[in-house]
Amino acid sequence: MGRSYGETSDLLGGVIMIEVDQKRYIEVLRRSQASGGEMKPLWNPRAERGYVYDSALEHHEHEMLWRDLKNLADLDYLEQDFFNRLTRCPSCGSHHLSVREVCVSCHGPNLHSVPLLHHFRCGYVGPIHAYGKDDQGHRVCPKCHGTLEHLGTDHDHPGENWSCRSCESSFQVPDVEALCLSCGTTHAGANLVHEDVFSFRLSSLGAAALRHGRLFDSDQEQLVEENTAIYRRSIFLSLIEDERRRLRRYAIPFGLVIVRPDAEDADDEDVFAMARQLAPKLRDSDKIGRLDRAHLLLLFPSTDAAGIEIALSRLISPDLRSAAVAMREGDDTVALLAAARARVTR
Amino acid sequence: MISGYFHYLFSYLEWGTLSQLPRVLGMMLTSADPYFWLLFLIMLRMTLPAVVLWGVNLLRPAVLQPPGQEASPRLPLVSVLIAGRNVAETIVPTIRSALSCGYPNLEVIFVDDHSSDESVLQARTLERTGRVRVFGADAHTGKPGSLNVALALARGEYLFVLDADSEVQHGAIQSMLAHFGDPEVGAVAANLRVRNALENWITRFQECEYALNVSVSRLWRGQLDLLSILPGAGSMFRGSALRAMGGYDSGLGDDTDLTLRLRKLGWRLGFAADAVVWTDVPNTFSWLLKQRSRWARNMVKIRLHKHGDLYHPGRFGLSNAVVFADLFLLRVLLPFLALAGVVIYTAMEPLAHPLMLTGLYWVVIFLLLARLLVAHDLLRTPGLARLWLVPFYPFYRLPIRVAEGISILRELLRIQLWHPYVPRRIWERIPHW
Repeated sequence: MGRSYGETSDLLGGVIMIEVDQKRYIEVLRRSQASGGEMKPLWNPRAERGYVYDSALEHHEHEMLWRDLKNLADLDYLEQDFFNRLTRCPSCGSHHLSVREVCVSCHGPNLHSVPLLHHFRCGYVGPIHAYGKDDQGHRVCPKCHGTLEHLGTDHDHPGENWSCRSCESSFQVPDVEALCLSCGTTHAGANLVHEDVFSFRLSSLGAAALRHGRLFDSDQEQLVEENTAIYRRSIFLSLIEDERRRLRRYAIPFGLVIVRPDAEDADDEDVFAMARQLAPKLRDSDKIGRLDRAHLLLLFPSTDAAGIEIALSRLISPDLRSAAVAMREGDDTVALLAAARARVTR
Repeated sequence: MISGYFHYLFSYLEWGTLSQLPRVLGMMLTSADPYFWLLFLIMLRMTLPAVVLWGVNLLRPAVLQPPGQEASPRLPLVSVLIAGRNVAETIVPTIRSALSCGYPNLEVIFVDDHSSDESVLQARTLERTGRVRVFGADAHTGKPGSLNVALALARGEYLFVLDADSEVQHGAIQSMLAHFGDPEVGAVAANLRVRNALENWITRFQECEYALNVSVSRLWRGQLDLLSILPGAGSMFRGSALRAMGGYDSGLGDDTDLTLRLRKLGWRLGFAADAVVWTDVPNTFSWLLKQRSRWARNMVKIRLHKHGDLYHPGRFGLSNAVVFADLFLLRVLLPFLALAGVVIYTAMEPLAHPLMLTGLYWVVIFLLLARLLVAHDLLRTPGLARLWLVPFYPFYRLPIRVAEGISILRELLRIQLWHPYVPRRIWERIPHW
């Protein structure tokens, strides 16, 4: 690698900074294309986050690449897929955490599990080691000196129990705490930072940006993809959210359909051809949007389920695959779209 | 003819019959009939302790104060033990009241007896305070077993047993701890007050009942070391005493049983009038009758059958013998004799004894009024607005007495001993007293 990642970013001045960011973004897209159109996280225990996208980079460059990949995904030039979930220290951000059970009273980690036994006859409840054994090896109750024979018939086990060797506290559910092995701080389990790690794929918009050697920043380009009626993914998702709000508040139905070319190896041109084929048949109010490189979405405002059926029968030819997206109240839109995509993927 | 007789009977309940009171009292005091003397003794026993207590409070109030501890910065750890089943609605206020009762060094342990509601979830919301620990039992074990689980988890030097539907008044724990300055004191009962007193007439009657039979009664009994019960709804124990005994025994009547076991071991029991614990009482008559029937069965099972040897002064001391004798006479023998007497005398001379019955009624009302006024003066309970209930009080007590009598007979005759309070699998393994 000739030049390290982001080495021009120390230039000053607003316009120059934007240009530098643009150049860096194009560089990221180029790296993505060079690695087969996909940047996968690589496990690296020495890295602060535990994963890197390019093992040849310096420490500080990883952070910048991580941020740029996220930004490019937000701008629709990359598509992101969930890869893993990280837990990080809220103080220093390190993933080197030792998560352990601790005492609910003194927060010490010196715990041991002590089963309790309940003797039915006299009601005594105590730790298992409080019960001695007779000659036959049966446990003997320290209160009534009766013999314990069969678990469940004359004695039972009221539940799991932990005991703290430091403060002698006993409890059923210990607290969970993390010790950061990088900065030495301790944090309650609820305060830990959780972060999702994604793998990134070049989107059709990203591929177009690479072809032109620039990002699409004009007003029109920020809405739809170059020379098409296809709304960019982030814009289209916000349109879907608007429709969902209208449905909730005014009970105005809408339809959403996922479509893709029938051919398994369809490229960007096939998808654009599909869009050109569909666009003239749509009403003025209907919209086409991007889901990912192979899948488009069709949005039909003020249309009920029967209307969707009619639209699909008119629009979808045998060389296309389609599925209506069921909008269930409370579900996340992205999750619903992922489920619908699975239905049209063989 | 029967309706005419009842009309004749009730005519003596009119206010005008009050003028008969001196005549009836005169008849009783001059009569050679032992039955009148029996009634006289019952009334004397019921009233005299309260009146003497009132007199002592008037002349020597310091006698009624707890011995008190030396001013010491030491605040021993107190474990509050709560066992409950399906108490999701009340458990959070109960634990909160314990945490905010003004005693800094305490831990609360709630053992859930395998509830089907959200009791555990509700209680766990308070675990974040760092002073509450919740244990959800895997199976229904009953209250004694659950309290024993709590005892196994407790670290406190003193153990405060509290019901899951009660609230602790500010300062209650300090008031109870003051009694433990005497090293012979093994446990201290809190002063139970009725939280839902204003709910309906049944709870209002119970407020009067608690004032007489719980607060005032325990106040004089505590002074004379004659306490016969430490309520499960609010009592504090010396940890070493309770642990040495192995906690509660399985079965019915856990609080009565524990009290008598402590007495047998020679511990003194105290009563802290200032340690107020507010508790809910049954708000329907059927629930009330069930509760009292259970208490009556406990009394026979625990006091007469299991700890019947308490009467022996040579073995367990004079005070235990007095406790036993008082209980046997007052709770078992006298109610049956009094009832039998009324029936027999009314049957023998139906036209003469209504005068006696109504006269006795007015005597009872008068004495009850005196006892309630003593309770109000000493402990500010019940409120004076509750005094209008007094004329109706005997009619409230009568069905309870009948239910208790039936339960006592059932228990004495050992008819259907099992009670759902104790899970079957445990009942089959415990000795049946």
